[in-house]
Amino acid sequence: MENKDWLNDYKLLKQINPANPFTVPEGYFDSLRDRIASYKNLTELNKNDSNGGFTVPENYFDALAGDIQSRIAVEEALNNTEAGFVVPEGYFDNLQQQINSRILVEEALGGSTEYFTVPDGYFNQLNKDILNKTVNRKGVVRKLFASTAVKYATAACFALIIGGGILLNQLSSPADVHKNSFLHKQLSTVPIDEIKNYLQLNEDAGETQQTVVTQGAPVDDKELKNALQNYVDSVQ
Amino acid sequence: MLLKKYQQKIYWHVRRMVIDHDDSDDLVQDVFIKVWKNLAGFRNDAQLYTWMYRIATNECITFLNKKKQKNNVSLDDVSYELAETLADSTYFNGDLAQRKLQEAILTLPDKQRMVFNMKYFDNMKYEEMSQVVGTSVGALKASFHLAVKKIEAFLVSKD
Repeated sequence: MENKDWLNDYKLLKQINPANPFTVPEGYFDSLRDRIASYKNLTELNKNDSNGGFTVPENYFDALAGDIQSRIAVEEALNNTEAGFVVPEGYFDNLQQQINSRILVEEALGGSTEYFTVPDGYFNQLNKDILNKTVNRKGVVRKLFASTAVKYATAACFALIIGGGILLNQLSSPADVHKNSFLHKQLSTVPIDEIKNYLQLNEDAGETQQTVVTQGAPVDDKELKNALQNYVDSVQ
Repeated sequence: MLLKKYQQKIYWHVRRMVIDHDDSDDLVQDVFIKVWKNLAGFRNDAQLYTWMYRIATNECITFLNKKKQKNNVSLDDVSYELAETLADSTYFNGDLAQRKLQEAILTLPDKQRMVFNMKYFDNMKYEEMSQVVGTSVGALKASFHLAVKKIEAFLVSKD
């Protein structure tokens, strides 16, 4: 079948436009001849001198295989510096996975446990503030008395302290102690003559030594009375 | 003179096989270089045209085989790739039906596709096709009709 009658058996195919649907760039066929001619010239050049004018030393390719093998042997020897060292079986197979796992763990641990934030530049400013408060600090003049009321209050406190100290001093002397004692309080109400009579009547043997020494000595009543009075005055 | 006379025929023959214009351009140049190189050895027992067609056919087959080997894909995947090229091609202005037809043709094996193209688009005689492809006329006829049936079935399924 040289004609298209066979298409009658194929309805869908027959409906399709048999025209060529493909296109080419504009002017393609006009330039095709020149391009093929250029390509032909290049091919011819390549045929005559496939090396493009380059040459190699004599017997280069014959020695090349041996040179490459020698170099391989040298590099293997150089790389074999770990001779004698071994690694556990399957070490390098698992290494990548171990590294990845470790990275994940460290990211999880190190990854921002700090939920608090600080203002921008905070730590830089902090450093400066600390320096200003310590090393760079100049003498700060502070007023002892910030206000008049404080002055007077301070003065009053000092007066009170001094007065209290004096008072306590007086109260704490032996004379003050005796003054506050029960004996003094009782004797201070007793006349001196009675004290003298009592002492004369109730002197005991413990006092005889003094009595023997002074026995026979003239007793001056006036002097004795003055001594007693002085004694009483001294303890009051 | 050869170039001027046959360049379009050779080009369209190649283009229908490889779809892409740039690939076609490369192959057409290779074809004519080969023609020029081997022109001295051309035996006049065949028409020049069919001889050139044969060179072009072989170049296309070689190109498609290299494409399969390069991409390490099967024939079906190459056909899919060519269909993708057709879909993306800026040098195709056919209507939807013509596009479907080209897609249908791409589902055929390379040689069968070539036979269909030569018969359907170029209207070549089976004897000429036999010289180009190197297959008997009877085998070509059978191949062609089988191709037509496959295409029709494809068009029906896509309808």
